[in-house]
Amino acid sequence: MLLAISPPILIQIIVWGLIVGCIYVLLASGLNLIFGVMKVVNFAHGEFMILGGYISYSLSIFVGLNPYLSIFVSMIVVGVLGVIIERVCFHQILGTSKLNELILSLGLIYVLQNTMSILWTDYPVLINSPFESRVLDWVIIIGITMLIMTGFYILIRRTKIGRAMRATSQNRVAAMLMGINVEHINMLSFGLGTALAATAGTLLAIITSITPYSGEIPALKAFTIIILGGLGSPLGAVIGGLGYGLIESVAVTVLGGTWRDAVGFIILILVLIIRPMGLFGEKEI
Amino acid sequence: MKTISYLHFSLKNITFYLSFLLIIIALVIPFFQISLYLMHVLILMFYYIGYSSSWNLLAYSGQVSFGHAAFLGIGAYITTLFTIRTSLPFIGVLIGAIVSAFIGLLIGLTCVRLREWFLALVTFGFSIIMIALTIELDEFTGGTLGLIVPKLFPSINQYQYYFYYYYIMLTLAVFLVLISQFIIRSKVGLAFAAIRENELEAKATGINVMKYKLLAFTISAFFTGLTGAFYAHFIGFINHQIYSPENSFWPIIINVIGGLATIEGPVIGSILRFFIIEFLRIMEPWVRTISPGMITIYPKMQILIFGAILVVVIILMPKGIAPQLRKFLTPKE
Amino acid sequence: MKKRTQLIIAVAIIAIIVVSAAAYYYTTLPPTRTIKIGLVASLTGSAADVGTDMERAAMMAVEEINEAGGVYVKEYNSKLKIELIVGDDKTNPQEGVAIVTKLITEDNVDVLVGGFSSAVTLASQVPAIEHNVPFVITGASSSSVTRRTDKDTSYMFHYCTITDDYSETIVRFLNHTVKPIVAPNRNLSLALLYQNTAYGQGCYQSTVYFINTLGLNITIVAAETFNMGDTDFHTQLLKIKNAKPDAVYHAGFTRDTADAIKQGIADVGLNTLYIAVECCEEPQFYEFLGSFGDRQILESKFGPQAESYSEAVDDYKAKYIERWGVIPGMMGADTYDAIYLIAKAIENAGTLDKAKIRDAIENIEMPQMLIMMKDGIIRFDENHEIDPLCFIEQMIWDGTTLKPYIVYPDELKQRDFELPPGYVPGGP
Repeated sequence: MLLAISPPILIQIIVWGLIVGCIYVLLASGLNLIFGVMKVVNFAHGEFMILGGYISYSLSIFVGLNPYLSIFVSMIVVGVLGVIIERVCFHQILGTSKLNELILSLGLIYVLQNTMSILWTDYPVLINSPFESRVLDWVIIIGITMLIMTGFYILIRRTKIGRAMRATSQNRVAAMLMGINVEHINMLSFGLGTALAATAGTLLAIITSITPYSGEIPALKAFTIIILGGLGSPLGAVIGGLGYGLIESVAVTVLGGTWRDAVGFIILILVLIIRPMGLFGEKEI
Repeated sequence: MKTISYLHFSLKNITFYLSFLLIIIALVIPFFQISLYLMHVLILMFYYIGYSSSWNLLAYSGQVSFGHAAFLGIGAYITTLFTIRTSLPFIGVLIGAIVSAFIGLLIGLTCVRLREWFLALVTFGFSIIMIALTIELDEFTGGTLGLIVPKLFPSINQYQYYFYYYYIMLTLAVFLVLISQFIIRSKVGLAFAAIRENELEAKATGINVMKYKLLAFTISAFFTGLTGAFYAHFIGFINHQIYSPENSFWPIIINVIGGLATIEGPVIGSILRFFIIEFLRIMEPWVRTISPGMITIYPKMQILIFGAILVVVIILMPKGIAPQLRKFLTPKE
Repeated sequence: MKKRTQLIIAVAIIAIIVVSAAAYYYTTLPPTRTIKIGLVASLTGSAADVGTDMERAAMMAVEEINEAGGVYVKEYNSKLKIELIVGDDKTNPQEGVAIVTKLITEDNVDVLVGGFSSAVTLASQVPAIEHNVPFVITGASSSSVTRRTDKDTSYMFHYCTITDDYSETIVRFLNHTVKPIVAPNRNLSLALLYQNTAYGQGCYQSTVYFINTLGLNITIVAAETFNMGDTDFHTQLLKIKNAKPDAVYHAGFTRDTADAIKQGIADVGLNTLYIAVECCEEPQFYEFLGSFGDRQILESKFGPQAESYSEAVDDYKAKYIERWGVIPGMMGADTYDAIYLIAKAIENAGTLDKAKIRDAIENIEMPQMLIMMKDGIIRFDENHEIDPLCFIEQMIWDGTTLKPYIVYPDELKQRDFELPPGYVPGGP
C-alpha cells in the first residue's frame, strides 16, 4: 500500500505524523510527570489540553494576541487551574483506592467538557496563524516543542526543584524525611503537567481544530504512549509520542480513517500480551 | 415505645423487608395503567441495574473496566445476528452471553497481570477497537446504519410487548442482584474481596489470584453480554453507538454513586439515575419558559451535573451511598 | 430514633416518591382540543446545531398558522390551533425510541415530524409504526426509513432529499459542466472523502451507482473515510492528492467539511475543486471557510445565503432573521414545509383520525414551498418520497464575505461556473 504512494507525498505523510507526534509528546510528558511524582493517572488530562486551546483561541480573537505568545498565558491559566484541581480534588483522595482516582478523573472529564461546551459552543474552533505560509507554522511548532521539552528537561535534571521532583517520584517517604515538602512538589508537578497540556492544546488548535470533546481520546492515547515508552521515563515519552504520531499517520494511509483511534490500542494490547510490564518497563505494572 | 418481641430488627431483616417491598412495588406497577413511556424508562432502569451489577462483579475483584460496553455490544450483536438467521431469539441471547464470556476470558488473559490504570486503558481501548471493527465489517454488522433486531417474542402491540418485557427485565435485574449476592457470599467472593483489598496478601494466603481474576472477568462478561442481548431485543435496533465510551461509563457512575463493590449499590445508583434524569426532563418545559437560551445549554447541564455528583461523591463519600444507608438503617443499641 | 420509626420513615419516603411520580404521570390532558404535532429533533449530541434550526423553523411555521386562526377541521367545525411538542432524541437510538414513545403515549400527538440521523430515525420510527402515527421524516438522508421491509412503513413519509439526490445532482453537474472544461478527452477523476456513517456511505454508494447507471465518463480514483467528530484530515487528503483527482467530493457535516477544505488547500496543497453536500448549508460553514471557500462547490436544495431565486425563500429568510437573529440553516426548511404540509393534509382530511390524516398526506398535492420540486408540486410517490430539485452553488469570495451563486441546473443559473484560483487538474 505504502509503495503505491509517490515519494514526495510519502514524505509529507511522515512529516505530518511527526508534527502530530509533537502534540502527543507534550501531552504525554505532562501526564508522565504527574504520574511519576504523584502516581496518579489523570484521565482528564486531555480536557486540560483542550481548555488551553480555547483560552489561546479567545486571547487571539478578543485581545488579538499572537497565538504563539498566548501559549504562555494559557499555560499559566491552565497550570493554576491544575493546581487548584489538585488541591480540591486529587489531593483529597490521594492514598485511598486507585479506583477513586480513575473515577474522579472521569467526573472531571464530564465537568470540564460540558463547561467548555457551554462557554464556547460545540462548533470547532481554529486559531488563525499570523503567518502566510503553513510550513513556517510547522517549523515553529516543532521548534516550540523542542524548546519546551529542553526547558522541561533542564528543570527536571539541573535544578533543585527538579531534583526534589525526581526524589519524590523515586521514594515519597524518603523524600519527605529529607525535608522535601512533598505536597508542594505535588502541586508543582500537577500544575506543570497541565501547563504542558495547555501548550499541546494551543498547537493542536493551530494545526487542526478543536471541539470541547476532542480531548477525551488523545488523553488515553497519551497514556498508551507513556506505557509503551516506559512509565516515568521522559525520553520514552518523547520517542513514544513521535512514534505514535507516525504510526497513526501510516495506519490511516494503509488501513483507512476508521482505524485512526483503534490502531494505538491494538498495539498496546499486543505489547501487553507479550510484555505485561510495557516495552521498557522493568517492574510489574 | 414498646418493643415487639417477635419482630427482630437487625440490619439483615430491614434490608430484607426493604428489598421485599421494592420488589412488590416493582411487580404491581404495570397494573396501574401507567404510560408506555414510564414503562420504557423503568425497563431501562432494570437494564441499568443488570448492567451495573454485572460490571460490579468485576469491580468486586478489584478490576475496574472502562470499556464494558464492548461486552454489552458483543452480546447484543451476537444475538441479533443469530436471531436474524434462525428466528430463535432465546437461544440467541444465551449464545450472545456465552460468546461475550469467551471474549471476556480472552481480554481477561491480557488484563489479569495489569494494575488498575492499565486495565482501565486496555478495556477502554478494546471498546474503541470494537467500534472500528463493527464499521469495517459492515456487510456483517450493518456498519453505522446498524441492524434491526427482531423481537424476543411475538406481540400484538407495543403495550403488550412492554408489559411482558417489563417482567423479563425485572426478572433479569433481580436475578443478577441475587447472583451477585450469591457469588459475593461464596468462597469465590471471599477470594475476590481478598484480591481487591491486597493482592500480595491474597497470593500469600494461597489464593490463585490469576484464576480468580479471570473468573471474575468471565462471569462479569457473561452477565453483561446477557443484559446487552436482552437490551437489544428491547430497543429493536443496534449500531456501533452501543460501544460508545458514554455507554461504558454509565455503570461506573451508577456504581460509584450507589456504592462500589456492594450488592445494593447498582440498585440504588440506577434508581437514583432514573429519578435525576426524569426530574430534569420534567423540569425541561419550565426551563424553556424561563429563557429560550437556557434550553440549548440545558442538556449539557444535565451531564455536567452527573460529572459534578461523581466528583463530590468520590471526595466526600468515597464509598458511595450504600454504606451511609446501611449505617442509617443499622439499629443502634 | 427507634428502629421501627426508622423503618416507617424509610417506607414512607419510598411511598411518597412512588405516589408523587404516579401522580405526575396521571395528570390529565387539557380539555380544549388542539392539533398536537410532535417534533423529533437532535437538540444535543453531535447534530445539536441542526436540531436547534429544525426546532426554530417548526416554531415559526406553527406560530404563523396559529396567527392566521389555525387549521379548519370539519369534524370539529372550527379552526383548531396547533400545539408543537418538542422531543430531543440526543442523536442516540435508545433516546430516540424513548422520546417518540413519550410523544405518542404521553403527549398523545396526532402527527410526528422531524428526525435527523438515519440510524436514530430507523430506531425511533418503530413506536410510530406500531401505534400507526403518521410521521413526516424531514432529516434522515437514507432511503431505508420508508423502504425497510421488516416493518409496515405506510405511515412513514420522507419529506427530505436523500443521498441518492445529492450524488445524482453532483455527478450530473460534473459531467455537464466540469468535464468539458477540465477533461474533455479523458475520464474525469473523482475522489471521495466521506464520513464513516450511514450518511457518508450512502453518498459514496449512490455516487458509484449513478456513475454506472447513467454511463458517465467519471472514474473514482480514491475513496477515503474518516470518523464522525474527526478534525484532522491531512493523511487522507495526502492520499487523495497522490491519486491526482480532478475534483474531491466531501460527504460530511458542516464542521468536518470546512476543516477538510481548509486543510486540503492550505496544508496539503491539494488545489482542486471541492464539492460539499447540502448538510453544510449553514451560516457557520461560510463563516468558517472564509476565503478558502472561493469558487468551491456546494450541492444544495435550499439556499438562504444565495442570490434571490425564490420569493418563498426570501420571505422565510427575512422572517427567520427577524425572529431569531440568525440566517436559517438547511434542515429547518424541510421541517417548516412539513408543518404546512401536515396542516394542509389535516384540513383535507377534515378529521384528526390518524388513518385519515395518513391518507390525506399520501394523496397531498400542493404547490412547492421552500424546497423546490422538479414539477413544482409537492406529492409523495409510491415509496412515500418526494421528487426534489437540487442545485449546485458556487461560493465566491469578494474579499470580505463568501457568497454562493447557483451555477447548475441551467433553469436556475445565476452565474457561469469558474475553476477555483490556482486549480491544478488531476491525471487520468
